Amino acid sequence: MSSFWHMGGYGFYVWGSYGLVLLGLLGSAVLMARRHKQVLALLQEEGL
Amino acid sequence: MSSLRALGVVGHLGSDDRRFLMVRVAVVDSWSYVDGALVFRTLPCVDAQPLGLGVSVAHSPLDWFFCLGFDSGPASIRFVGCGIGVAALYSPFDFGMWHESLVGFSIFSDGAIGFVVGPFIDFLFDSAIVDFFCFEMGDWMMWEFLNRLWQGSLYLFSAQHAYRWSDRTFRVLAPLLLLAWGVGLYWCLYVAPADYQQKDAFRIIYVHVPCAFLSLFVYTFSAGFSALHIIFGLKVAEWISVVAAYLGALFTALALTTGAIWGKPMWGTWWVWDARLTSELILLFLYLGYLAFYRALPDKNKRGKIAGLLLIVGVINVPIIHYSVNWWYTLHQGATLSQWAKPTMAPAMLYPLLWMIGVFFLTFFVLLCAGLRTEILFREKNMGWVQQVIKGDPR
Repeated sequence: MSSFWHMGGYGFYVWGSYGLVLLGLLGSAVLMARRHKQVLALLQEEGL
Repeated sequence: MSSLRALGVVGHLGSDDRRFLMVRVAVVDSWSYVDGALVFRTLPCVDAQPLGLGVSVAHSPLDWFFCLGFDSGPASIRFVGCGIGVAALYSPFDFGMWHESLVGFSIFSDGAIGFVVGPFIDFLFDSAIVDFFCFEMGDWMMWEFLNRLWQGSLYLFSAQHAYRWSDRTFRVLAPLLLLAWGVGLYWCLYVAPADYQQKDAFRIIYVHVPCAFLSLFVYTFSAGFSALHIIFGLKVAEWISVVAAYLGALFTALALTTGAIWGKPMWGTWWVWDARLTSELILLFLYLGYLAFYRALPDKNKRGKIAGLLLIVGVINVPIIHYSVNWWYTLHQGATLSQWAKPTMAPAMLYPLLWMIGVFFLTFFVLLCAGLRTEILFREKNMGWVQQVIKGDPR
């Protein structure tokens, strides 16, 4: 299992690039979900 | 009133010895027509003989057809099978020219099944009455087709319906997307073999290439929707363009950073002013320029069009990036995948890459839908239907 994380000595590069991609995509998904909630809250306020 | 209708070709696709070419001759009698067919066996085509009979009677633009196939040996004729299917008659460009497209299947006497495909067959030769009829019909069908296309687009791109489909698409595809990511990561990081030269560092390709691919695709996509907004004034197209540009900028930034991380162990440097890298960086600036320009323009009715023009002009960069590895042979390697050549990668490495490209496409569409539904609610907040959505949440 440790060899899996080691990635033949390239662990830093492989996990770094995959991590960045996941961070970027998940980060934007979270930001979008937050904005959706904000907009819904804003609309609810205005509607009342 | 009859006229000779056509000489056309229909292909029967089946296993190798069951490919037929069928030449059809049809007689048109104002509304209806009857045609006959000559069937040639093409493989082996040494003793191609004309055989076969087709009957199809058309009373309307959509009809069915039926044909019989015979094969002649040196001394005898035997029944080989029959075909059945639907045929559509239409006249797309008027001028008395009719096309028929048909699709169906054929059953051979020994039980085998093939397909009958006729993409474009039949030309109508002139006859005053039929010509007139065709002109009228063609005109009407063309008009109706364009009209329905336009109405359909208006429907799809009206804010209310765009909200409905983006919201639903997001809800349906989001769980599938997570599943696809799980499969993809397991495949790329664990199952796929390491490269014999680059070892495990090669695995970066599975995120780098899809990001680079998407950065180009999304740019064209976003510019296309800007064009739709400029030409037809569709509001939703403007918002699609903006949300897509955000995502495109993200993919471009990820392509650049994962490329740098890959470059460090392989090339020994994070960055070089190579043609591919430089043009990709320009792409990022184009995205950011469009978004900044869009936000900065004060006129909310015109900003989508003005900033959209910038985006459209920047499309010139897309082929430059694509061909940069061929035009300036510097450091970046050539294209990994090409539609003109057989893949040079081993299947065990290629399939996970294709899978990941698909997953990234899906990610783009899911995030686009997620962003679009928010954007529509926000911009249409004064409309009655939005208030209804908020109150009752009727989906």
